[in-house]
Amino acid sequence: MQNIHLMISIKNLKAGIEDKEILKGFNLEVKPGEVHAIMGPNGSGKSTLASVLAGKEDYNVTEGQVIFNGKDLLEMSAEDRAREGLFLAFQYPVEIPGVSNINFLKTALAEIRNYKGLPPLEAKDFLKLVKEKQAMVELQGSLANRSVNEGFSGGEKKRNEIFQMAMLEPTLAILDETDSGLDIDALRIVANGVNQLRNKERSFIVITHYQRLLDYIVPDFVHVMYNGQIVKSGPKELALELEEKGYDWIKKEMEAAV
Amino acid sequence: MNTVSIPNDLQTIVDIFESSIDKLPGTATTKVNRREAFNKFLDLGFPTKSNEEYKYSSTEKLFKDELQWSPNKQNILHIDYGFYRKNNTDANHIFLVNGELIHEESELTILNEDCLICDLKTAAIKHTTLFEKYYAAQIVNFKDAFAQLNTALASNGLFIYIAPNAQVQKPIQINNICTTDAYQFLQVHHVIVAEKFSNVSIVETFFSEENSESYLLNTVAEVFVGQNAFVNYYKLQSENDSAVQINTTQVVQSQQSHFDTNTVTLGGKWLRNNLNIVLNGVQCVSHLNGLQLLNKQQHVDNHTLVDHQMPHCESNQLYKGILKDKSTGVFNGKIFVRKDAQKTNAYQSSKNMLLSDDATMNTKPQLEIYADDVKCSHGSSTGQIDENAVFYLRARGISPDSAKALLMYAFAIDVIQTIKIDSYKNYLDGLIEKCFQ
Repeated sequence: MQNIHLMISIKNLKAGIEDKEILKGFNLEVKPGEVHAIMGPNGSGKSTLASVLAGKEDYNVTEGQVIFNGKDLLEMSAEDRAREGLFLAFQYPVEIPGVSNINFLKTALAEIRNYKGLPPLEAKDFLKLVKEKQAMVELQGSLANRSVNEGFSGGEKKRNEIFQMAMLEPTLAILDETDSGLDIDALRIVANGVNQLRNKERSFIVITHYQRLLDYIVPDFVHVMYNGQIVKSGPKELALELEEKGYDWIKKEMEAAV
Repeated sequence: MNTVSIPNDLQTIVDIFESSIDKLPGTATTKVNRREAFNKFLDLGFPTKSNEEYKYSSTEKLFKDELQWSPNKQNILHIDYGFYRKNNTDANHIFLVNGELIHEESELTILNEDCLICDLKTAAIKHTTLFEKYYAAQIVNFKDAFAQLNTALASNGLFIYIAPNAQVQKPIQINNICTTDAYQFLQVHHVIVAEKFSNVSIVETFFSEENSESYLLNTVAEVFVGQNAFVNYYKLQSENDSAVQINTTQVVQSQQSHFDTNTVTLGGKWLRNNLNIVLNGVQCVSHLNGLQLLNKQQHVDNHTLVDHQMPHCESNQLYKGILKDKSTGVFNGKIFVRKDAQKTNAYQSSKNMLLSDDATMNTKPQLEIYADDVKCSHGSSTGQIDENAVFYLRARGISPDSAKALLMYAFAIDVIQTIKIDSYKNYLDGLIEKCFQ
């Protein structure tokens, strides 16, 4: 019963879109409280991994197993994964005109609490929570009342993702290239928000193309993904090595192995 | 009691007209106007498929069964007026049942010389000059058989007259309730006059009693918006699954006047709305908004016509529809900008969401511009629900049904946000939310 100590266990995961296989036997184990960074060149399957774990139905899973908190993740709908404590911070957060951020979060929180057999938060407790978490990502109060992501700058959208994460308090958060399109100030704010949410129970999978983010969110492990698999794992220093040498040496190593 | 098979039975309609013309409200002048309207009706004939204006709204099915011509009263006793009053607490309610004014249920006592509301019969007798001046004065140019037939034959409806400078504080709500025991043809004709510098808000609702038989409600409103007057005219159509409604609103605006209208269609089997606005003075502003939430086999056709005749006017249209099941919708928006109407701003937008493969939306914008210094635009879009947005919401723990409801609500709600009567707006908001649950 080794799984009980794992937040998530991904075994031999194969998935793709239409006939194209993108994940080609992906393996990863994450324990509670750990931060794992997944790096890799474009097209290696990083974002596909995030989408498959979040339950996006455009992707077909053809093989493998994912156990999340002791439950079969692949059997769950996208909404149930979120209710079970999985959170995906989107690379491209969707703009939803007409749905206010607040109403959206109120609905989400109520459905998650209902799933757990809890009543919805009282209005005043909810608003208190909003205020507190907004401050965490330095998100202006006015943004919370606007339509979800509509007209937000790139940085505001990413901060909004972290704000939502703070509100929903997941046990496993997957950050899909959250650093893309951020200037250094926004990056620092986002990372700061994430770091405040780190604790012994909560795990993170941080997907990134660049080492830069990992200066701020220091991972416990770094994995290199290439061609739909993890091809190299190591401590946080691996990120620095990748930054220095680029991904070509990994590719060469892989090709040499074949 | 006459029953008529349309369209084969025109002679019966002629007989009905000839036998009732002397009894209909109005003076000798009115009678001339009614006869003119009737002749126009005969010239036009009931629309067939070859009529371009009814291309997507076939009237054939409406005439499958015989229509009963004179209204009955037998179901009226059971109406729970309080139920309808609750819809909007901030209004003076007027009730029309099958077109007939129910005096004892209508709040007519608030009325004074500044704000006159009565039925057509009373208007013709007590306010003869006004009635003669306005009845049939505007509708005469509209080439629509139903509108002309209504003008010729209508004995029921309201006459609303707002005196110069009068500021009517409380909205007037006209509640049309229909309840019939056979397929009835009902004609209701309102005349609304807002004199210069006056201000009035009118809500008009259409409901049918639950146990009502089907009927064809043919209703016309002639609206005169005086110089610098502000008129809001909001409509809610929420009849039962067998109701048929043909609703014509003919508006003429004098200089610097404002006219806002909003038509929300939730219920009814087959509806045709004709909304014609003539901007007949400089610096007029009109806003035309509409929302249709359709399901089953509902059919709703919104025809708008905005006629910019004078310079420096502005018109703005936003029509939205969400169509489920096998419902069908039509939006046909025509904008004329006449030669003299320089500096016109005219905008039109029709946006629709189709929720099933069997739902259909036909949109047709038509701009005819004869002036050379104007800003006009139109746009229309018809699409499905945004699946990326649904997934985004689901990824936050929201069920697919709630996600879709949130998105549909968000899509629909901006149409009603400009409504200036809070209690009515809140009521609509609740109704719309309920539609998506």
